[in-house]
Amino acid sequence: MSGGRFITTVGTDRRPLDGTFEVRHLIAYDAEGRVESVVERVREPAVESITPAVPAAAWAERELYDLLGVVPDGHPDLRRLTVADDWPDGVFPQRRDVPHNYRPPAAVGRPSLKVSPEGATVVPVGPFFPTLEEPAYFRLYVEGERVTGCDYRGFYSHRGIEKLGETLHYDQIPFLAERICGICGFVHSTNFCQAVERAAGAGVPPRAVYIRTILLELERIHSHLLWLGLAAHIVGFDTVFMQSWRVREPVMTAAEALTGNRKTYGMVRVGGVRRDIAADGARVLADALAQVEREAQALVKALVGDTTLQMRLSDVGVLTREEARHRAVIGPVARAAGVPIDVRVDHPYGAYGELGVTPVVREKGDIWARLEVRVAELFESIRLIRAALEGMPEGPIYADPGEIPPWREGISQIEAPRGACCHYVLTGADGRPYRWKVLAPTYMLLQAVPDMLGPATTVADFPIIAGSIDPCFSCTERYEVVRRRD
Amino acid sequence: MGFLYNLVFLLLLAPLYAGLTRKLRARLQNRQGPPILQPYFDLFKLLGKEERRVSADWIFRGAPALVLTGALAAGLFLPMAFAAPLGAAGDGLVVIYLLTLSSVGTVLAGLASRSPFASAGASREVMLLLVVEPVLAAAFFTLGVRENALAVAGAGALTWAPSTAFAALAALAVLQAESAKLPFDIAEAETELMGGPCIEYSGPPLALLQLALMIRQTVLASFFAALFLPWLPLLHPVKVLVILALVEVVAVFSPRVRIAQAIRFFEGLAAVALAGLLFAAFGA
Repeated sequence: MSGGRFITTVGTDRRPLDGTFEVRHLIAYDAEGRVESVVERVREPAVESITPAVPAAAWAERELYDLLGVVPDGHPDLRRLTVADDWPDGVFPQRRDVPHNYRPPAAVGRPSLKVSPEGATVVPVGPFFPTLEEPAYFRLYVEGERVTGCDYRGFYSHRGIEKLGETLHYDQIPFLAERICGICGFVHSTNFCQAVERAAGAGVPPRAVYIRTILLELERIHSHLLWLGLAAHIVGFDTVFMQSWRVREPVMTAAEALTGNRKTYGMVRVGGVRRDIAADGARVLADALAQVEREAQALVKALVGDTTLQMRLSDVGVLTREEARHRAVIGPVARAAGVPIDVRVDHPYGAYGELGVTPVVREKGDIWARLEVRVAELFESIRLIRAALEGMPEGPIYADPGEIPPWREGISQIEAPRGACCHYVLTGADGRPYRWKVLAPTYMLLQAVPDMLGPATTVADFPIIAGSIDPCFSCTERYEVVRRRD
Repeated sequence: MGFLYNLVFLLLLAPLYAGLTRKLRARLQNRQGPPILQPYFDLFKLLGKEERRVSADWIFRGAPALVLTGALAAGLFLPMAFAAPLGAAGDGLVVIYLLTLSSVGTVLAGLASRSPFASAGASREVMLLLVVEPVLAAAFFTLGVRENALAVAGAGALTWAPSTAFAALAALAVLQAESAKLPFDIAEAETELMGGPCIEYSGPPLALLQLALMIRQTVLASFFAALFLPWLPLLHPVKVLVILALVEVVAVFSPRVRIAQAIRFFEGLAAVALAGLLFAAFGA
């Protein structure tokens, strides 16, 4: 797999079709712009584990067992990952014979945690992660103020959204997909549509492609400003927290003018978009960009000049280039470690091929480098939106894709604010996908957090280290609460 | 008169100062901020709440009282608008001791809570205390050497000299740390330790603890005012406001430092304070 980057493993229960379980490892060759599948179909639910050779596959294979019941033989750490602690053994929710709304009887379960090393004090950070106010449970092994290691238990909000998607029509799923994340929802809906369009070979009108691109970049701006504020809040710098969220506000207003929602919801559908960006919408957007650019520049100037903040973030949470490759991390975390992966450049989609993206790369791999990458990307996104508005072609915004043919596959990657986000779709009969798989960037980044703990890491550093990957637990866990009336 | 003034000022007006500085912080952060009287509302609310005790330990129950008594007693040895009520019984050293006692109360509260966050907060508080106290003492002795007395006069003339400037600088930094304000709110560190020593307190004991911390801040500001701004004692409330506002402004523009960074900072500052003391010894 030299030169390849492990994306994820998709497990599909094909027993109703041909009596097999399919295990598909997706591998991206970023330099060549290819994504390859390594596929194995087995009648007995067991395959050879690739984790010993590809450590980045650790969670994906744990999930393979957890959800589909296919055992990766030789996996070094096959604890449960996604399902609840009291989930019954032997029920594998991703299998076709388990209904999507199956509720096991309540039981008492214990989280499967690693045995803590001898002599270490355990500091529990979670299950309610105090800094981000989200459900995530890090167990820190601490000696004095020094953190020597950690274990993670997450997926408290896993709701089986992929499974639920398999009961819905292609036109309904984008609404579900964009609610996977409260920040980068547009990434998920667009990614799903792109995967279906690729599967069906359906074209998208150029104007719709530009509109998607503009909204994707708008999302990156607001996500990066949001992160900047949160990162500052974590190190107690609430002034920057408040200011950067204030600077972010025009982006939300512009999104509302363009889509009718402060979050860019309800815009994408398979085959195009629902709303055009009219002349006055473009003007609102341009004004918002001008304001954000001006104020962000002032904010960044104050930040970069702040030596205390730099002292706090430099040489902390370092991920070297080798570790970054090893863990297959993506996005700003990878780019800050000198790994120039950017899906917009490596696997062009949307209007990025025409607009031309300059990836921002830093070498040091510490939190300060991550901050620099995100700040520079902010301005690159502003430039991209302006270029897209400038060069937006006329024409329709939707082309009917017609019936989506069954049993076709589509793989789509989008550079989300946090890194490469991947959707895999296997189309099925009666206008529904047979299998839909979502991989959020945080899924890969969270696995790299233990590598970021250096010999000098203290309890005070941990929240900002975990925060520096811009974690999105709801993305990772494909969270959803849906009350359906059948 | 002084007795009454000091008690009323500390017990009744400390939350007002907290409210004013909160408002100031909010405005500096482009926020509306809570009403100025919010700290009073919060205290009253907590007083009416149920208390959930994590520990039957009497230290856990008594610690907030110790924090409060230490701070209040220190306040009685200070001249505020009038001469120090207990001035005859002790000098500035007593004030420092009592303030330390109050801090020790916070440490005990943390240790007795038996929560990893509270103990981490307590241990940070101890470390901070160990580096901050010598600096405060050095600053105080600088003035003592110059005036040939350790009593806190609080009124009269202070002749400014290089050594007093050194001492004032050191005392300001101590004020920041002892008031648990950024960049030195390391022991409470909301986003790391979620309140540190206070994490397990609830209801009336939490109200007591919070009030005590507010009082400690006003006592510290009054101490600073008495030492370095001894003119026009009747303007004491204004002086305290100015000092606390200054502390708040520094806090607004600083991210939190790590405990190791704080220790290094105060070690450097100790050198400055000692230089000031040397200057004073040679009459400068």
